[in-house]
Amino acid sequence: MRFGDPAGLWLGAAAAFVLAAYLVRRRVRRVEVPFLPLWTGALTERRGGFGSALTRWLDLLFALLACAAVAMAAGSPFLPGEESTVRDLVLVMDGGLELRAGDRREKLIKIAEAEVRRRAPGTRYFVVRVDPSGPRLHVGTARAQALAFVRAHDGGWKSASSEEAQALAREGALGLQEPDLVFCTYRPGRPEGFRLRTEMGEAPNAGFTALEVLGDPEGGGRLARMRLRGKGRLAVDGPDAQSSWEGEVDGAETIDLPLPASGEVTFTLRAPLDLFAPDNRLFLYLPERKQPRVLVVSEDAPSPFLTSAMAALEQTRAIRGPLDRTKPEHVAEAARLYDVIVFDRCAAPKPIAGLRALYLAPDRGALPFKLGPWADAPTLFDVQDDHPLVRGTGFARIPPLRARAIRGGEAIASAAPGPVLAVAGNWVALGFDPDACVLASSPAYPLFLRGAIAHLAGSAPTRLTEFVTVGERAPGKGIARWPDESRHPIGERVFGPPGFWRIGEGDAMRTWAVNLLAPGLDLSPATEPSDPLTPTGLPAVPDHPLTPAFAGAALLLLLLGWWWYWRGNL
Amino acid sequence: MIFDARELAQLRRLEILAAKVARGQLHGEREMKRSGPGSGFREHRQYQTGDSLRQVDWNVYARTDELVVKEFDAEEALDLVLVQDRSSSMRGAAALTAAKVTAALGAVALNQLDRIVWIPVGGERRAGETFSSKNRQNDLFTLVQGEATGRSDMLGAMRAALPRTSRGGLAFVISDFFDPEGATRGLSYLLARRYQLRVIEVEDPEALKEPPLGRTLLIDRETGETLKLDITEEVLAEYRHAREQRAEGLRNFCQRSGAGFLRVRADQPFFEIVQNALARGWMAG
Repeated sequence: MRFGDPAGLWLGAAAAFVLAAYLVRRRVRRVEVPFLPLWTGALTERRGGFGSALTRWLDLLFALLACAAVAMAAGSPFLPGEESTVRDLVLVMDGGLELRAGDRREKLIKIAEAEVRRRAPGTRYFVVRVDPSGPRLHVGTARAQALAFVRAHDGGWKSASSEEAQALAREGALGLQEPDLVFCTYRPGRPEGFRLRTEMGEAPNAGFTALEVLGDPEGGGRLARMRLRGKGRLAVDGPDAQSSWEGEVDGAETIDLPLPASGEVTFTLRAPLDLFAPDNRLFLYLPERKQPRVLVVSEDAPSPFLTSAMAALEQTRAIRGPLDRTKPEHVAEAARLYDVIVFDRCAAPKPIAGLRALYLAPDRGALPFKLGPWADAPTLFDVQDDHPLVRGTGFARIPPLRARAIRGGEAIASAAPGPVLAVAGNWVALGFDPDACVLASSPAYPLFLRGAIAHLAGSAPTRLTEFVTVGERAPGKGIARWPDESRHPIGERVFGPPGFWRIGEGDAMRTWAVNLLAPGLDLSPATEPSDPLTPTGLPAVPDHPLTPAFAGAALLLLLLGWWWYWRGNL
Repeated sequence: MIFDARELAQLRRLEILAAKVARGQLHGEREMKRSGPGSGFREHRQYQTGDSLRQVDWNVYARTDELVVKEFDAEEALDLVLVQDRSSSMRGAAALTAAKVTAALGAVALNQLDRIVWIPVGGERRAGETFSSKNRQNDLFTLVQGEATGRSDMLGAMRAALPRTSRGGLAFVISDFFDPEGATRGLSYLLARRYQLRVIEVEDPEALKEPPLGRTLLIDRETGETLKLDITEEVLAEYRHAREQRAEGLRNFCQRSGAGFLRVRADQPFFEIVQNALARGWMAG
């Protein structure tokens, strides 16, 4: 507790002393009586009793407490508040392919924001999303001259150059002064036999771009040839001094470092960021992306669409398996060993728990989903083209496309009668007109398959239900409606819980559901909350004045004293 | 002047009332129960050596040859003792009321040609002042107005004012009877000297008002003695009990000794008090 007016405190103390003297004197009333013996006698013993003395001291105590409260109140006491420890954070989102491939970008932003809120309540945070220029699917990490998107906490994205983004973050639109930067990225994958760790990961302007393990022509050992990219002073820390390097890099640099003859080697790259100030860096590492293991079960060579899709997938190990893998016992084993099983033009196996599978019809006419005549002339007018299943597919150029959304789903492509492609939770329900849809023969189809496989691989295993065959009623919770030609709903079908399933009204319509990324998947960063650089901002606590409290206490004590006085207990 | 014009008129009415009560005898109106030079025959007795021959009833001697002497009732002026408490405890309304009652009783008595002995209690001790003529009525009025000071010492005042031997008479004692030595000691002294007592206790409600609760320094008006008390309801209850006991004791004393007792309030008009006393026949002896 502090006092805002020490002089007032002294004045108050003096006044309190006077008041105390007055109160003490006032307490003994002088009364003249005509005949004192009436009061003596039986009353004599009451003069010096212990109770009397005690109550007098209590009376004095009341008065002194009241005076003390008055004195304190006069000193303008207050509880000092706490200065704001709010830290302005700028979340720098890695916009490289690593993030974009699985459409983790927006999710990453949300995850990062949630993590910041969890770790540092009261912290203001802003997001700078660094995207590479050029095509969205450009392979490679973001570059120093990348175009930056700056978004205030509740505002929209604003495009700016990296320098402009820096200015915006510091003192421009965001109004920040020396903000802390939090780089949000995934840990990169590693080559076999080596574990590379960079403080920046796929940071925008520096990092490993290549690593080769060469034989040492002189010593017979191994040599690591690294290509570094960045600007400024970089350092590579190897297992020993010989395997370490430090130097200036401007653009690209290739270095050779001797390696131990055997064993796993860890290199750490230390590189300052020139896009932002080297200080105030915090790194929010997200879990390393899983390298999906995909088993392709195919009767013959994989279809060119699937081959293209697999080629578009990064770091995916695809193994071709024989047809007997469709047997239930083999499916169960495969479900344990592989993240995704693609049944390419073969019979769909009986679903088992934990199976994440993609079923491809043998040919275009045998696609397991159909649309009825009500989809004769669909007109697609809106596509959420950055959605992972749609992004890059060019759906807008595929006119005969129709689907019904699971109720409450997020529409990612819609047409005149309603949504045609939708996501509800970790499912996507879609349907194509096999007669009119050219998706399967379009260049967008492999991309669609790629997105589906990526999502299946990243999703949490869920229990699969029985396939619903055509014409079979599906138990479940959802409701699907389809309109007639007049575009009014004429049918309704209840379908089941999550899993692979198809429903239809005769051959009129079939719907295929694909398991997507589980919404509750924990992508929180691997770093511990005790990280000393973790923002710990707290809002400022204003001073809390105590004068009213002390004044009230003084008044209360005075009233209490008077009450006791008049009540005769003192 | 102790009385204003209205009170003087009331005083005249009291004198008339007293005269009616006494049925208008002149000198020595009150018949004394002893033989003396009066005019009323009481009894015959045997002649004794030393008796005057003029007292012999010669008619009886002519009929019976016995020398008997005629005795007559004595007819003489009555001594009226007025004891007025002027101690400090009477300060205020009680003192004024006591003074007016004393003056009124004195005036009534002087109007009936009684001899008055006025004895003040409190202040400087002094011998009793005797008034035997109505001409000194104003002197009495002046004297009773004195300031209420000093301590209550009724016995000392009696001893100083009255002779050791006395023929008795009527004695009015007007006081609050707050005597540290005892309220009845002075009364006993008068009774011992064959006075018929008329006790008027003046009670001042204002002076006896209970002080508020809390720590209080009580100061005795007469002695200046102090007493610190934490006054509570319990203490007040005991104070009331002490007052009642004291008043009851005084009343019982008067009842036992055949004395008249009248408790009046200090704010009560003197006319009512004296009228009440006359109606009780207190002036008739």
